[in-house]
Amino acid sequence: MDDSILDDFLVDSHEGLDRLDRDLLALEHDPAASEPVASAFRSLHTIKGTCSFLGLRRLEKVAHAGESLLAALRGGRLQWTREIADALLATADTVRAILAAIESTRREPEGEDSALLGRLADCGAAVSAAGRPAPNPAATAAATTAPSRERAPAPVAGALQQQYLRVDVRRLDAVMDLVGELVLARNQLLRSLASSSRDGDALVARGLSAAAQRLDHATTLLQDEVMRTRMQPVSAAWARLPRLVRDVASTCDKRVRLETRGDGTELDRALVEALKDPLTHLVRNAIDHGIEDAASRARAGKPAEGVLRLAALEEGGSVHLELADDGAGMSAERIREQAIARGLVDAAHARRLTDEECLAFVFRPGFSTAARVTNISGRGVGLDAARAAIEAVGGSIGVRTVAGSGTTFHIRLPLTLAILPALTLEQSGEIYAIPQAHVLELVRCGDQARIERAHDRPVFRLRGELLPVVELGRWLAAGEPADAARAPRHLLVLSAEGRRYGLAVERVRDTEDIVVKPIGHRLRDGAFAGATVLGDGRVALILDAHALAVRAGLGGPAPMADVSHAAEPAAAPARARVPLLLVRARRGVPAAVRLTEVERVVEFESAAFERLDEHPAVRLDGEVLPVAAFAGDPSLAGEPAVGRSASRLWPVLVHGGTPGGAGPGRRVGLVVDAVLDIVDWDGAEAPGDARGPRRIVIGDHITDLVTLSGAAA
Amino acid sequence: MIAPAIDRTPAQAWCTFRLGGGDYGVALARVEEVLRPLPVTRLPLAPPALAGLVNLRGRILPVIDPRVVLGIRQPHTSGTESLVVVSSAEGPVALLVDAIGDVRRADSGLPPPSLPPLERAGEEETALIERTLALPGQLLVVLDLDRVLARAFALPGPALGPRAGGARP
Repeated sequence: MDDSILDDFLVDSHEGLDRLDRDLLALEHDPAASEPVASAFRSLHTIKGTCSFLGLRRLEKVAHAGESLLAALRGGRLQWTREIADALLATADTVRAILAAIESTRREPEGEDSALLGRLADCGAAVSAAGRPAPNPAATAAATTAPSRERAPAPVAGALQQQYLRVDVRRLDAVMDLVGELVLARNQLLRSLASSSRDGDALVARGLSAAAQRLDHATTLLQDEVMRTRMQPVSAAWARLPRLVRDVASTCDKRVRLETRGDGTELDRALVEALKDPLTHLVRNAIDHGIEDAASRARAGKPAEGVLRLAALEEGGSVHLELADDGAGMSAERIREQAIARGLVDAAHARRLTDEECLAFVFRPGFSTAARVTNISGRGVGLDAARAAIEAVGGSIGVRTVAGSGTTFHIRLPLTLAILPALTLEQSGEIYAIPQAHVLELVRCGDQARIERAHDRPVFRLRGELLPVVELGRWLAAGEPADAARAPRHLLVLSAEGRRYGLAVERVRDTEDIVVKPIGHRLRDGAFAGATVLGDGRVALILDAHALAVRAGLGGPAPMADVSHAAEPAAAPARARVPLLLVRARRGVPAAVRLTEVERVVEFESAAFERLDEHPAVRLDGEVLPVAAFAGDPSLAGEPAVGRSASRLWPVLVHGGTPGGAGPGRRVGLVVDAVLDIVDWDGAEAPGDARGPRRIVIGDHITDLVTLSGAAA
Repeated sequence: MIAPAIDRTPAQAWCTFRLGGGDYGVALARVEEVLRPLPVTRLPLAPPALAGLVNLRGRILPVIDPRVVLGIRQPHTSGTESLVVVSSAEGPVALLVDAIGDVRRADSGLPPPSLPPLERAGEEETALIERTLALPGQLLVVLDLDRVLARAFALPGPALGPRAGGARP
């Protein structure tokens, strides 16, 4: 049999079956609707027709039986019943199972379907047994109008189909690889042009740079277009959910309705795949444990039917998904108790945690079993697996809950897997990359702040907290004697699976948007998530933050409080200490901003500053980021200071619009002269002018405290 | 760049190369291309025969040092190395060879006389050799590519991270 014909058939049939599921579920809501019957009939009819052409006799028989039943429904000779719905859904399942077998073995599997065929025949027999049902005016009307309505859109659909072409994903990947190569070549060209224009022939340089600019433009567009070809509507990830909701709800004996919004939101197909399992998990959980049974709902004054709302939207280079149920919600207090009981946190620490921080425990492995055994509210079953799957593709998941009125899971995913903002670092002569999403902050190691050893494990003191540390150099050298010249000079504070740890590295290089390339699973060895090609064409490995943490043995309950350690006063901070970022403003004046206000610090070349509607801006993550200098400083962007004459790197503090944060805050950047340090502020204030900026005391110095939102406004 | 089906019909033509002091060959049908050396990125913690990764026009390929697999200890000759890109079930792989040789064919249509495996090769290495061909003026050791690759990935690497080491300075 021709492989490509069979493959086309398999893909078409799977789409047809998904459509069939949707149509059958629509009929359950509105049995009188005629369009779903017609559409379901068409789906099965197409499958049957191709089967007979391909000689798949067993499949043809099953499809035929289902089709006959649908024909009777369409003709109004039969009334929709629960039994019919079950039998038709079972038909779809059987067809699916046979298709799966064909896909793996390339031939039709042997099998016996008489039970299903009998069931379908029984449903159909109801017609003859009961005689013709009383002529139902609605059904008759449907029967007469349906065909005409069915015929009209058909040519349109055909015309639409001709605009699409089925392309092997591997071919797209190959095109993507070549585009990446083109991007590298362009970068190289631009770089060498920039250096040659200083001393080369001016005329030649001008001609070349015009050509290079066109190449630059075309390459950027091409890259974007190719990326888009890999995108799929997110609804592909939830095509099966309506069916799942029906099945789980009926198992739990509950009534649940699924509402979806933003079905057309597009994201990389690999991400669509990665979403399927976690979503299934969350939906199952929501129905099983979130939504109450009818009696409890009635007591709470809610309608008997529970609602699951699933929404997707694209914003700021990310796709946000929300799955909200209108169930009983989770109790932070009970989660707190359970976390203490399971030894995930000690009682004293647990009391200091906010409700939101307590909720985060539901994603911890080990908590899930606790939830199931003691049934606090049943939540948490396998949520750690869902989180791991989402974080594995660079996303994040969070949860909000309101006792009595429901729980909402929020998932954030990057638009594409292909390009990732990353931090590049250097260790033992090689360059590594780590996804920016895992990096919380960057600390310089020195005499004052160095890596210490507690119980022979490296730790780092970070604002009163002992952070477990992985020393990349030692780790990669696998126990070989450490080279003093390669001593770590930077510490990255990473977060993975809800834990924070430090990664000590020789040198931090830069932030870069990297194109992620797969490497064989045999090469990954649990420490590397893949590889990327750097600007000079070399390969750099991408570190896997989760695997590093696991490999380094960072398990168990942490963070340890820096209390038992002798060197510092052991007193727990009586006054809340506020971490501040010390920067130098434009005129050499130091200033401080709250670290919590800074999403991250990115350095930009002078030439990267553009003017947009007379306001300076830079491009970050494919977005326009408006920037400002400290208030009252006019010498920014477009002005000589940040012009071409004095090319240098400008640190920009990025504020707001944190993904997953509440509300779509707009991101702004604040340009500073230099980033100096991170310090703890104990709240001491210096007397100042009430109209001027707030003056605070850090150590022996007086500094202005600036709010980013205010300064950038 | 879609991996073609791998041709496993008995070879009548071989791509030859030098490793240490000997001539080796692999079935020509499995060779995708031959390259000058590219910068190799080391793979920490990888098996010793895995020399690292290279960027081949946007594709990232593992580089195998067949000398480690075959237990050849003579030092690398420098300046003449090449990368032989071969197809495998898991995508293309680059072999780091000391020098690239000619393509040799079994001209008469008859396979040339085969010799018993080389003496210096231990039993494990023998299994990696498909046969040894007495070609006019050359003894060619034809490698069983799939076994060589499988062995390359399976050789034990260094201990994984300080955790496995336990005691540290």
